[in-house]
Amino acid sequence: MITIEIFGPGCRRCRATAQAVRQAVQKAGIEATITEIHDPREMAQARVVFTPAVRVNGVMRCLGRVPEAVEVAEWLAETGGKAA
Amino acid sequence: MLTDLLLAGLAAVVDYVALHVLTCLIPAFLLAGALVSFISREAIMERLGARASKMRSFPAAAGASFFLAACSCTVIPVSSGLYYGGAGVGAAFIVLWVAPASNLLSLIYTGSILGPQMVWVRVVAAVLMAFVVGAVMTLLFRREEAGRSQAAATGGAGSRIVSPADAGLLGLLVLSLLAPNYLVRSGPYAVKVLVWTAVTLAAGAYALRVKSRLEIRRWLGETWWFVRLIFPLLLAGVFAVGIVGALLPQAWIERHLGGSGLLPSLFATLLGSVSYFATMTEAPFVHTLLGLGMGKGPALALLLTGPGLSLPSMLAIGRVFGARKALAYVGTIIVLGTVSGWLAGTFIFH
Repeated sequence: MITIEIFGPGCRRCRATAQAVRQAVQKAGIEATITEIHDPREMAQARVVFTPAVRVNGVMRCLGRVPEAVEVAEWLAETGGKAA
Repeated sequence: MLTDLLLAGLAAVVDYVALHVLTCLIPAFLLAGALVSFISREAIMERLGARASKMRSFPAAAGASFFLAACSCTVIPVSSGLYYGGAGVGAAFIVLWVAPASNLLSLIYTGSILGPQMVWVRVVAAVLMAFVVGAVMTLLFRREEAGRSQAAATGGAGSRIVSPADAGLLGLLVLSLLAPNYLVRSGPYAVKVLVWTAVTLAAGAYALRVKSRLEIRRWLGETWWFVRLIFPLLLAGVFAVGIVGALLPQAWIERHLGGSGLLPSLFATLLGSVSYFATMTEAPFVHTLLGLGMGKGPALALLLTGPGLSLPSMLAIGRVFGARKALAYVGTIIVLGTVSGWLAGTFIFH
């Protein structure tokens, strides 16, 4: 099971990030819990300063930019490989 | 009547947007995209963290904010992230103030519409106000600051902010902005476009040599995000500016916003603090009001507080930092905005 956290205040860039993540998860056909974190305090605790940010199973994968779905798929593949 | 208003809106869009697309807006967006993708924001953050002294973190916070972000939706998380990540309350509020009040995109646009003098006065006023805000916040909340557990700052001190190759590219992009507007001061518009094209092609060729395909794609991607986020707001805002300009009676503006006294500056500051101005729209709005008889001092106050503060941003700041800090911040900004409008109107713009 993969846990994905998306940090962002809810702006368009954050929504685009969430969409890229969902697309990649769906394409990979895996089960994943996707949480969107909007609270600035929680973001600060996770050391996120630049949004949007994506964390996969506790590993910060990108900060301050919108990833492409292909990129997200790579992270998922890497994470899946480690878990197995 | 209605068609008159629509025509006024369209005229504003032509004057303030269409004529500036090639020589101001496109290079400004390209530069903003390059800053976001090529400058190491982690390295900047290190210089603002808990370990940095106030003497260093205040100027660093003000300096970094020029390049950090352009829209208010990005700056609140940056500032709160700094604060909860262990930076001083002063540095956090400096970022919160300078990033919208005086960021690169709006400065470039201000220069292209209101002239270079207004730009430098805006920068100086924003930075001076930032230092006072930082000092006031530090002083007011000194007990809390002393008790706050200073979280460990992120490691890896002394990493580079920008590589020399990237700095070269950023320099060429700055040149593509300045050359058409400042080298070619007279002559037909086509000459400006020609100069802009030449420098932009040079920047493109340089980028292809020193950057990888992926990096270039990210840079253009970030640029495209700025365009998508800001351009529609700019178009709508400027259209509204044209309509408001046609509706406002000149006598009213002259009475309440004319001259350079304290009262018109206060009025301009309050107007700017409450209403929401999307990044960059403040420049055409101020230009229109200046044409209707607003004084230059109040104009500066409006340029600063218009994008720097709005009711929605006040609420968001209150939610993140607590009502007391938000009130202290807003109060300080209103006093400072009024004073800088008055001082600049009296001593700088004659």
